Amino acid sequence: MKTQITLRLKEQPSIPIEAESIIPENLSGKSLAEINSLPLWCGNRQEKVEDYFTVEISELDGDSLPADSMPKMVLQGNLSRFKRLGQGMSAGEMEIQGSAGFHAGALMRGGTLVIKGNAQDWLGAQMEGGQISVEGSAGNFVGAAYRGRTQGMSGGTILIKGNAGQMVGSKMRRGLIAVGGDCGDVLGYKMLAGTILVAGRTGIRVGANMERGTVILLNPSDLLPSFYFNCCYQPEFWRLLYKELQSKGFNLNQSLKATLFKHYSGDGNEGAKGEVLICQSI
Amino acid sequence: MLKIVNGQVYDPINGVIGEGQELLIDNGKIVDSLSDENCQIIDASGCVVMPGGIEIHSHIAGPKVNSARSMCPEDHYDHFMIKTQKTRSGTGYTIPSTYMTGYQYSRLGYTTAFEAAVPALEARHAHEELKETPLLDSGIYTLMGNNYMIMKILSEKDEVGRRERLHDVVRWLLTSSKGYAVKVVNPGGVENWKWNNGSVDLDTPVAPFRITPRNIMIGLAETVKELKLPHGLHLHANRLGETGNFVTTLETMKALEGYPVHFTHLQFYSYGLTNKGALRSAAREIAEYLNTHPEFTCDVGQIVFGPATTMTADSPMQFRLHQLTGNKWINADVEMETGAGIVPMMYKPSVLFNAIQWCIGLELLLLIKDPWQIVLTTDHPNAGPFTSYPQIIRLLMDSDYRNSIIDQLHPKTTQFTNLKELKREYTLEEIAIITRSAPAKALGLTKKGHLGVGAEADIAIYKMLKNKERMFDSPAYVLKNGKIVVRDGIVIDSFAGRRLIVEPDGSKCLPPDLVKDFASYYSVALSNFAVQDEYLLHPEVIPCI
Repeated sequence: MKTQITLRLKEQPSIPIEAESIIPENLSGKSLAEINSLPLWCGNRQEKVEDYFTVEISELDGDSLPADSMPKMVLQGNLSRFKRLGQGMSAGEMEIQGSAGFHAGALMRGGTLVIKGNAQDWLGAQMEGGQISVEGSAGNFVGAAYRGRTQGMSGGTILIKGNAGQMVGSKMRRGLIAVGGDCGDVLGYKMLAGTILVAGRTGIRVGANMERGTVILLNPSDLLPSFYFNCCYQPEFWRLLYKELQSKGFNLNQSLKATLFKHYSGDGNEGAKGEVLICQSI
Repeated sequence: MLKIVNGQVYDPINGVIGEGQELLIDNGKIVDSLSDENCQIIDASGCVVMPGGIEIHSHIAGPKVNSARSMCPEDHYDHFMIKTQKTRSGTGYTIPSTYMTGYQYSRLGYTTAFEAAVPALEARHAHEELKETPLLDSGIYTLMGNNYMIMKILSEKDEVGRRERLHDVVRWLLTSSKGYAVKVVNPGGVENWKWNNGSVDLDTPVAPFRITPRNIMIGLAETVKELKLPHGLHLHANRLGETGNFVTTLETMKALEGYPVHFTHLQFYSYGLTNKGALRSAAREIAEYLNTHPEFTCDVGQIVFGPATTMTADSPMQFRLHQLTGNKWINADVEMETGAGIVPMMYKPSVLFNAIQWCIGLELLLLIKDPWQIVLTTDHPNAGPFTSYPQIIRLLMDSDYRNSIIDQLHPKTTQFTNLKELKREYTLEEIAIITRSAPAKALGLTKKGHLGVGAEADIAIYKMLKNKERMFDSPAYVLKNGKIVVRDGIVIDSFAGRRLIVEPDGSKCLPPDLVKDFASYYSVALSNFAVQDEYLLHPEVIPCI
């Protein structure tokens, strides 16, 4: 039978906590006492998980999964002051029933991270694999490259039901980002490859300096003069992407299934191998 | 008081080659007898004892280094050191923070380092950073090759007056910046680029005064000679990094015969041209010239594969590099004095150009017969970080290892280089020369680079190992001013070193007619230009004789 580890927030920290130790592989197989004493950095002070959380280990009933599989992790409470939750996780399942702080799921390599509330900046930054789902909104630099790095997200999926901030998918190399709501300026800045879909409205300078990759906009948007209109068509991959998103719980309007897209190439300053697809029928 | 016993001492200046000699240290100096025989004893059996290393050319302090630090956060993420009781924390690989720079030099056995290019206007910043760079005696070279005042004077007709006035301006620049030597970077080339003109060769007339790089170099070399500065003209010549530039390099050398000149990062100037316009090694031509001209010294600027951060006052070269690589770039115009540029780089053995550059550096080191003429540098961080010195030493001392690396380079490398044919292996004595004694001699530092009585007790003790990279990477002891600062490769003490400056005889004021130019064009007042004495913690004047 599969176990579930629940961390219930009992006290809000006075300053943000570096919580990169809270990832499934780090907690799996550990006793309650061991989990309680996992380190958390609070400024220059090292504290413990038990200082902020009540930890519970329970068994999930009716689950046919083998007992040795990784436990499901559930975090409860407003964790917007806990940074780096799920950072670098490579397997397992982590659910945050509340909001998460900066860098949630950054450098993630596998597994799933579900955030029921909002996420802040650097969600899934430089992630390599796995899936992040956010029920609320996310901050800036979703799936982006950290300062000075040449490549952002290089694999995996980020699904955001709400809005996202600026520079979503900046320097993205591979993978999929889907935003159900609106997003800020310079979407897909310097994108190298990969796919970004935005259902709502976007800010200015979509795809600025993009080298390759695909940006799909379901709402009309002004593009930079370095993007050229090519044609109106229905890309073959759209049906597949639509189905894939549907299967992952990211529902799009039924009418979009057979929509046409206006195809633009850009950024002309970088060789115009990238594409922006703007939905024709809305 | 301290005694080092049982070590094999390498002190080439005093002709001591691997002899078991006792070293007695008192009050930061090497002495011939100790008053108290019951002092601390370092047992150096199985170890090699050498003077502390001397870095003749490195970019470790000042505005461009700091700009590079802020431009390259990626250089810092994965490289850091945690504070200990004696040492501070730090970050950075090719451009480490100030304290880390001091510690890292120290843990290689280096005890003196010179910052190679500082505009007089920005000298205060460089001194402030060097003040926070511990365990090193340091100094700065003052940039003069594209200085408006100097070019203006050189364009004047009256030959005698011109010479006098040039001396005045050079003295004024050196003393106001608290510099150690005269540095020239792409003479005329930077200024010409600012006027939107192209690359310059030796005899290209340069805007705005129509004088040539040859005029600038000879004028300054003459001044350096006449002011009797301890270090010669520190020359970063024209056409750095251009294929086929060895012709200009040889021309420059011929033009400067008879003057005290140090040719810096010579690897970047030894580029030949094949019939098809590709890069080939011209190290042989350069080495042959230097072998017949023992009065010149040089340092190599050896390429190290991996990340590097190029930073120089040669802004046109940096602009080309930015266009070539597409990497990020900072460009700066330093008012009346010079320019500067920064571009991060990655040298790869699989890239033919980089592989040839790497071979050229080693060819120079192996083909220049007299080790007193060539100093080991990586032009840190332009060709690679100084922390790679142990690896380069192994490449020089172990030809099997060298050949095994050559085999990993781009397959066409051997067509354009001669490195594989060179069988020479450096001895420990020669390593001691190129890292310690030769730079001390070239810099005119009589109390450094040797272990004779009266020398400063800056000493490095390395365990004798077969693998020379490991040997030089982790000294058993390093002594600075007679105090143990590194033990088994770990820094155990930290304090500020001295600042080496010069005070040439004569007026140190700007000539009155140029004061007007200064007031019209500089962004600071003349009274605020000179670096105040408070910026130097422990100044030491090296005499001009």
